[in-house]
Order: sequence, then C-alpha cells, then structure tokens
Amino acid sequence: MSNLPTKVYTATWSEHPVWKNLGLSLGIVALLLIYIPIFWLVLMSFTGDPLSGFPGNFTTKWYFSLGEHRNWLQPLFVSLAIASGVSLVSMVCATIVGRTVSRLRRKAMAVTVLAVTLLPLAIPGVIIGTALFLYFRVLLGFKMGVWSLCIGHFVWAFPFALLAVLVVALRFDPRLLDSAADLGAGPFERFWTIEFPLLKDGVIAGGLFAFLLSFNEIARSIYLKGRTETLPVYIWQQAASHSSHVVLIYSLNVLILIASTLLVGFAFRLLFGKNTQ
Amino acid sequence: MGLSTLQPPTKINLKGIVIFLLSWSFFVLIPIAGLLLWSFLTMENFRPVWDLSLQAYREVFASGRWEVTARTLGIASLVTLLEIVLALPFALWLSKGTKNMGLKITVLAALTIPFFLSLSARTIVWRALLGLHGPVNYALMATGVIDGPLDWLLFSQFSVILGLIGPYFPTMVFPLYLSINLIDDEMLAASTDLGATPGFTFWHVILPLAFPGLGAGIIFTFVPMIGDSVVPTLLGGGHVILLSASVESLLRILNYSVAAALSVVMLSIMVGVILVVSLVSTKIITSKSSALPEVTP
Amino acid sequence: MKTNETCKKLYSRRTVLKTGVAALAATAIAPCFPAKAFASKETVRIMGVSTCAIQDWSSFEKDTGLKMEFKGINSDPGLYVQEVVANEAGEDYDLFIFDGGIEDRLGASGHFSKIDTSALKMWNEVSDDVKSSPLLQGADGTQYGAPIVFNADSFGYNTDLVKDAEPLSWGTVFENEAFLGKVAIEDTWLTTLPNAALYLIGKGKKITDPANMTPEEVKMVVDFLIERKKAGQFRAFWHSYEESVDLLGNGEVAIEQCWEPVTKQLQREGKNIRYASAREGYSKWMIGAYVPSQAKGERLARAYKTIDWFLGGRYGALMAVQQGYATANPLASLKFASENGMSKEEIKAIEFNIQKVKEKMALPMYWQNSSPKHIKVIESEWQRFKQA
Repeated sequence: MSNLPTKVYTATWSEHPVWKNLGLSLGIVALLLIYIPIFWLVLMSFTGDPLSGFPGNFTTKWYFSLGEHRNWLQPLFVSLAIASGVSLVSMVCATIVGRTVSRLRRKAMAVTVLAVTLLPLAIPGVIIGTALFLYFRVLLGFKMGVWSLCIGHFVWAFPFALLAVLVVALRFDPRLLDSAADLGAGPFERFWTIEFPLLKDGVIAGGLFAFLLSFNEIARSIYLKGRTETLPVYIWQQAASHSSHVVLIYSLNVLILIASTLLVGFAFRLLFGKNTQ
Repeated sequence: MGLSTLQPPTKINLKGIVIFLLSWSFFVLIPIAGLLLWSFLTMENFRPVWDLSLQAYREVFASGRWEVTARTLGIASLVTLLEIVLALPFALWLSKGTKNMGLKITVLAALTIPFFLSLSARTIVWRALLGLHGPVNYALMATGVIDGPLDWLLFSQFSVILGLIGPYFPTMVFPLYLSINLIDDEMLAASTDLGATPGFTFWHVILPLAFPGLGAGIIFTFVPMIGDSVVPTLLGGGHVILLSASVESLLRILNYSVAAALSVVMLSIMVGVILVVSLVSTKIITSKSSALPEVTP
Repeated sequence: MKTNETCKKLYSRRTVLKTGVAALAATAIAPCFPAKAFASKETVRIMGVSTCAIQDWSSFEKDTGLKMEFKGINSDPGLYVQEVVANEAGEDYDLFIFDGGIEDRLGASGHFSKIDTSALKMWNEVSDDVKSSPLLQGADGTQYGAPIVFNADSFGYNTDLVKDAEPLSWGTVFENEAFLGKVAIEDTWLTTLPNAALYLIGKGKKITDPANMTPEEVKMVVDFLIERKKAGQFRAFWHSYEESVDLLGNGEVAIEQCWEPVTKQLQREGKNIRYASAREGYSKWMIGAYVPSQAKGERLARAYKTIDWFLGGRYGALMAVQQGYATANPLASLKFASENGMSKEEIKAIEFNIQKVKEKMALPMYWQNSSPKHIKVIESEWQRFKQA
C-alpha cells in the first residue's frame, strides 16, 4: 500500500520460500483461531437451543425476535455516532501530534510526549473510568453524559491512533518538505500534497483503530455514561437479567458481522483499491 | 527570490502540540495523578475522608492481589511473545511475500472485521468447543488419541491463553505490516545483490526498520490484554484470576482506595516497561536508520 | 428470547415477518426523529435491574395509560449507589427498582422517600410477611420499598446423575466427593459465602447470621471453601445467565448453584434438571421499587401508579409463568390468569408456584445482603478464595 513506485527486480529476497511458507502457515493458524469461534457463532445463531453448545434444530426465529424487540437499535446508533466522532478527532490529533513528535530534535522531549500519551494505557479500563468519574463528578462537579463518554473513549483510542501515525511518520524524511519549499510551496500545500499522502496509511489505520476501540468500549463507559447507553453497555446490562439474551449474543453479532464485512470490504477497496492496477 | 521570507519548513510549529498537551493534562493526567491521592484516602458517600494512610497498600499485598498482578503480567507477556512469533513472519509475507493486492486487502479486512464483534460473543463459543462434551474432545476420543475427555482444555490457563491469541493477533499484525510495508523493495534487492543471505537481511535490514512497528505492536497487544476481563472470566472459569476481575470486584463494593492503590502499583510497573520499550526502540531507530541510505521516491 | 406458548400464539410466522421488516424500515428513519416526538403520553422513567423487566411493555402502557421508559441496570450494588448518590439519578428517574438491602443505606441518607402506603390501591392485598421484609424496610423499620419480585434460591442438578432423595443438603454442592470437578458455583460472595455458611451451620459450626458474618466467621467459611477448591470440587464459577445454562445444560457439570429460571429453561429443552429443595435453608432475595426523594407531584403520582401495576395480577402471572419467581400478590395473578383466558398449563404453573413459594418460605433462610457490615473483609476474603 505504499505509494512508492515498485520496480520489477529479479531474485527478490522476499520471494524466498521460507518466508512465504512459514509466514503464510502461521497466519493461517492465527486466522483459524479467530474465525473458528466466529463460524461457530454464525452456526449457533441458527440453532434452536444455542446454549446447549451443539448446532442443530435449525431455525431463524432468533432473527425475527431481533426485529420484534428493537431496544438495541438506539444504543447501536449512539455507539456508531460516538465511535465516528472519536475516530475523527483521534485522526486529527494524531496527525498533529504525530508529525510534530517525529520531528522533535530532542529525543528526550519526544519520549516524554510519547510517555504521557501512552500512560493511560497502562491502567485497567475500569480504573481509568473510575479516575475520570471521581475527577469530573466528585471533584469538579460535572454531570456525566455523552461528553464524558467521548472523553473516556478518546483517552482509550487516541494513543493507538498516535502510534499508528508514528509508525509511518518516523520514516518520513522532513527534507522532502525543504525541497518542496524550495519549489515555492506554501506550508499548507506542503502538508497536503507531500506530507499527508505519505502519512495517509497511518492516519487511516489510526482512525480505524480508534473507531473500533470506541465501538466496543465497555470498561470506561460503565462509569462515564450518565444517561447515555452505548451498545456494549446495553448488552452488558441485559446480561445481568435472570433470563436469556442469546439473541443479542448470537444473532445481533451475526448481523454486525455481515454489516462490517460489507463496510470494511467497501472501505478497503475504496482506500487501497486504486493501487491494485 | 522570496524564499528567505518563508519559514524554514523543518522548523516545527509547536502550537498544536502545546494545546494538545495542555488539554491532555487537564482531561487525563490530572485524573490519573488523582489515583495516587485516592489510594491514600478513603471515601464515604463519594466524599473523600482526609485521613492519609497506607492501609490500601497493605491490603494489596495481604489479600493476594499482588499475586494476581504478577500472574496477569506473566500471562500477558507470554501471549504477546506468542503473537510476535505468529505475526512477524506473517506480516513479512503479507507486505513483501505476496504481490497480489486483492489477497492483501482480503487478509487485512479479515483481520479488521472481528473487532466489530463483541469479544464476549466471540469468546463464549469456545466454551462449547472446548468443553468436556465438546467437538474437540469428541474428535480426540473418536480418533483414539485419548481415552477420556481432557478437562484442562477448558477453565484452565491453557484455555485463557488460547482464547487470547485470536483477539490480540490483529493488533500485532497491523503495526508490523505498516512498518514493513514502508521498507523499499529496492533496499531489500540491494541487500541481496550485495550477497546477503535472507537471514542477514532480516536481522540487519528488516528488523531494525520494522522496530517502530514492533514496539507499537507490543503496546497494542500487551497493554489492552492486561485490562481484558472478558477472556479470563469466560474461559478461566474462576480458576485463572487476572487483574481486571480483581479490580472490578473492588469497585463493586466501592472500595476505591484499594483499587487505586492496586493501579498505582500496576502503573509503576507498566511505566517502567513502556519507558524501556520506547527508549530502546528510539535508540535502535536512530542508530540503525541513520546508518542506512535515506529512501526518497 | 423467551419463546413461551403465549408468544407463539400471538405471533404467526407472517406477522412476525411483517414486524421484522417494518422494524428494519423504522430503523432506517428512527434516528432522524428525536424520541420525544413520539411521546405524546405521559412517560414514567424507571431505572431498574433487568431481572424485573419484561420484554414488551405494551400491556403496561394499555393498563395504566403511561408510557414506559425502562433503563436497565446491572445488579451491581456499587454501580447503583454510584448512580443514585453521585450521579443524582433521582432527578432523571421517577422510580428505582433494585435488589433490596440497599435501602438501609440510601434510605437513611435521604435518597429514597418513605412509601406512602395509603396512596397505593393494591397495598393492602399484599401479605404482611412480604411487605415487612427487611429488604424493603430501613434499619429503623421505615417502609422504603414495595415488593416487585422475589425468590428463595438453591441449586439445580441433573437427576440422571444425582439420585439422592430430596430435600438435599448444601453439601451436594460444597462437599461432594462423588462429584469432584462436577460442580459450578456463582462467582460472587453475595450468595456463595452465605450458602456455604448455611451448610457449615448444618454441620454444627457457629455462625450467627450467614448474610452478615463477622470477620472470624468469614475466614472460617473461606478456609473451608479453599480446602474444597484444592480438593478439586469446583469445575467453574459462573457470572451470567448464559454461562450457568450452558454449564448445566451440556453436561460440563452435574450440580450448580444457580437461579431457578436456569432450571426452567433446561426443563423446557427436555433436560432432566431439577431445582433442589435445600435442607439447610435458602438464599432469599427480593427486588423492590423505591421512590427517589426528588420525585414530587406528578412524577410521584406516576411512580405510585406504576408500583400499583407491578403489585397487580398481570405482572405476577407473567413472572410466575416465565421465571418461576414470586410476586407480591400471587392470588391476584391467579385471578388475572383465569379471567384473561391463560392456558391450563399456565394456570397450573402459577398454582404450583404459589405452593412452592409457601413451602420455601417456611424453611430457615437468610436474606441476601448486598451491604453487610464487614463488606471489605468479605470481599477481600472472597478474593483469597478465588486466588487459592
């Protein structure tokens, strides 16, 4: 996906069979570990008694029941909205911070910035949630709401987005910008036509990560939600009832699976597809 | 020539980052510093009682929560190591081993999609698969490998580790892929032309250049795993207690001080780890990459 | 989720299909309209544990003329206290429904109002021993709560494997050499420690109140449990309904300390599972409705109207049939069932439920207590057990 031109060359190092076979087979093992449970999940969503653990007695009743009881819809939209917002803000901030950090002359300063950004990752989510809650609510007296949820998610997602940008930005040669300036390009033009296209992969990867982390966030949300209800919070609360919520576990996740496959397939084709030719 | 009036582009504009750091301090760093304070206090009806004590820290060690912290770090390190072993060759293959863009996109999509699904849903199905009467035991018995069902397949360290590998594999692959993908093919070709063996190229060209990716991958994988409560809860069956379950139990009874003390202990360890990782990787990047020719398109 | 007989009758396949399609269509446009645009009726806002919720509130809305906005909450006392005290949930909600026991604390701190029993039409029909449960009254006897749902819990077992005669001892769960590694328990000190204490009391140990143990008593119980854990007694600790159903249902364990609906669901699936009558006694819980002190005037009137509905026959019948749980006024449930043409089996289930509850309540038991005096010690000891 690099935009660097690829020359045809012979006897590529990477064509060495060892890497091909080893890399591929290890990847297949890992992908199986991911997809066997997902396959089973799909199978169970069509099973009459999914909690018995065995497929059989196939039915589509769970999907109908999902359409009948639509309480999960509102939380789903809330989750999507928050995740989009958090993802967007993370991308912008990660680009600003990432390109600056990667160019700081004094390494100690770069490390400091990195350390304070990564700091919250070192604390379990429930504790971050509690710490923010105690700070905003008990100390400062604000009421929890969408805003606190967004802050909690941003604190979680941003470090990941930043790292994704840094992975790319650290390999960026700032002298490119000097040459561009020599050619008379203004600061914004330099950023947009030279720097950003090279950072793009990292920024997009960071934004995607941020979106996904926010979409499935639960530990922090519990403490910061106020009256807002995200999908994971909703499902978590349903799980506490003395009755089954297999519909939410199996069928809803299969629907999300289908939707996200379409979405990701579409987005990836749009983003990277042009490089195929 | 109006060039002299232009700001030299390599001089960085610090305004953005300063604003960011100030807000970050207000919204994140101060609340975290607050943890240190809460760990010395107790709370009555959400009002702090200003009576400093070390009681919470004594509790951390007395109730065995300390062992939980150690066990969590151990398991997370082991799984992170396994992920590196799985993901590094795979990322190499994905970025350099195949030229088929369609395949690449499919694989990257396949690694992204699982993130949309709830981790509990993906994890709870392992229980059926690994259970005493599940298909794995059934297959092993039918083929005569074992006589009776294996009880350690589920509700054991084994099942927790197995369950963690899948969800945390993509987080290791992505940064590695990103960084390896940036390595110019010509450089690898040059290395080969100069007579380097694949092994040599790997150690002396690829690995140093992939280092930011590896560092990011370790943090992406290790750190969220520390806080994961889903996998150990569903697959550990109460026999493999990790940190987040222990913390959640404290918060359930509003014991903020011990929870805060436990986090401070954890934080000190993790800050050490992160500092070492970032210092080492920065050092390696600067030393190795400056030794190599800069690549410009 | 619950595909009981009534549901099946009400919805033919075609209507279900239609609703499904309509639902998806509505999904697409729903976010364009704020929820309030639809709320022409008066709305009652409840924050309550999901256990007491029913899937479809339309019968409630028809009976009372109120619109229901039910916000589910996890039955986690810490979070609940946080919502009520720190987040001042009383300003947003007209009624709280939560596991009883919390009113000792939140009543005394002024977060709940005293129930004005004269404002409740159904109050006098509720039997006195239910109303006077310590889980509804503050430490000083003030009535803070109205009973919604309650039950006395024991454990479920597979009758193909466990052949002992009822009533069974709690030793079946905690000290059972024949079923080592075939037992599951709930992952919480709230029920597991008192249940183990009941067993130890039966063995002659001295414990004054299983639900409010002293540090020494807790230590003794936990030492016993650690010994049993080391002997390999427990296969797993469960945390949610699904987990407890799959453990007992697919034969991972033969005996499980669990909620009664778990065994009901497995029986419906044709499994030979029975909910035990416990010889030493039960773990009794009650979910109560509490009125936030901020609810005044019209909000208060709505809250009382809602409580009255919960005390009535429709809700009781529904709970008895679906969950096997007891409600405040079982006779009203029976009356409702026969007047509204519920099936013979369902009426029988309600009658059986009445009888069962009566028998259980006659036995010794303790009331689950989410805020015991030595809660920090209990939690810490529980962690010691889990790590052992």
